[in-house]
Amino acid sequence: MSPPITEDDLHGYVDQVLAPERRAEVEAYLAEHPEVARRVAGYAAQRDGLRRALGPVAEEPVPPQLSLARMIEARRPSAGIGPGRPSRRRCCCWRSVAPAAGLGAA
Amino acid sequence: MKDMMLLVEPLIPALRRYARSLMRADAAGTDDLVQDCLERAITRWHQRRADGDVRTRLFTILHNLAVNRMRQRTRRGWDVPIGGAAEAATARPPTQEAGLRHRELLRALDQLPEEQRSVLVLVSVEDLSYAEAATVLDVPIGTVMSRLSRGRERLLRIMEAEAAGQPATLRPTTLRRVK
Repeated sequence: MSPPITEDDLHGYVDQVLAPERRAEVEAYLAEHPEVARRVAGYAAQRDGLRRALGPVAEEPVPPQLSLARMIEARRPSAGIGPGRPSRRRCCCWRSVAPAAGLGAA
Repeated sequence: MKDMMLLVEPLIPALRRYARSLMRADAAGTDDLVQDCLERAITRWHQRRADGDVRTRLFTILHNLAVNRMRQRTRRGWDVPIGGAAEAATARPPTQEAGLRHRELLRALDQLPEEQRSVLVLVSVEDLSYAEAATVLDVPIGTVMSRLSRGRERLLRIMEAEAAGQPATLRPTTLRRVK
């Protein structure tokens, strides 16, 4: 006899992290308990909706402010910023805009 | 630093997404948060634990920075902009209706307390395991599960209330009072 279905199982089911056997047990349970099934369906739709709604942010081009290469480069003493301290740039300064600064110059 | 580029750079879009969803803030502000996170990661790169997961570590740094920022804003009586994540996610949806649903969902997300919102997004969107979320948030897994459960239920209730209170057709934009 399998262990009783728990709330954690329901969330594991929604998040698709259950082992196949447990998933089957949850599905059997949901077939017998339509109210719970409705709630779980709501959670699943919500999860799907959040992924679709927020997904586009991760598709945006990464702004120059967050260039890792530039941050690392800015810490090198030869960059002329200082003894390896991080540069606190918040504007859109970019190589093509400030070539005279010597950052990233070949 | 080449391994850092290889390990960290692919995470930047997801970090931006998490910051955007967590903060009730404009997009530019959240990128500052991600920049702070990356700067810290660079500073500590050589001290990092060999057995540590880079993604979990970066989300932990970002999460803590975000929570501190939110606390500072609360103390200073920051005016919470209406919408937050809903306004910040500006990508065009496939249909106008889908866009409305997305905005409503994100508005509902903004209404959750931070501790529920963070778990919900880390698990549902960022695909962290429950154990990884527990590490990021520095709480036991049991706490992750209870916050997840409460957050999902609350979000469902908010959306159901929205659906019940609104007509089926497009509604005009209304001013929304911010708590």
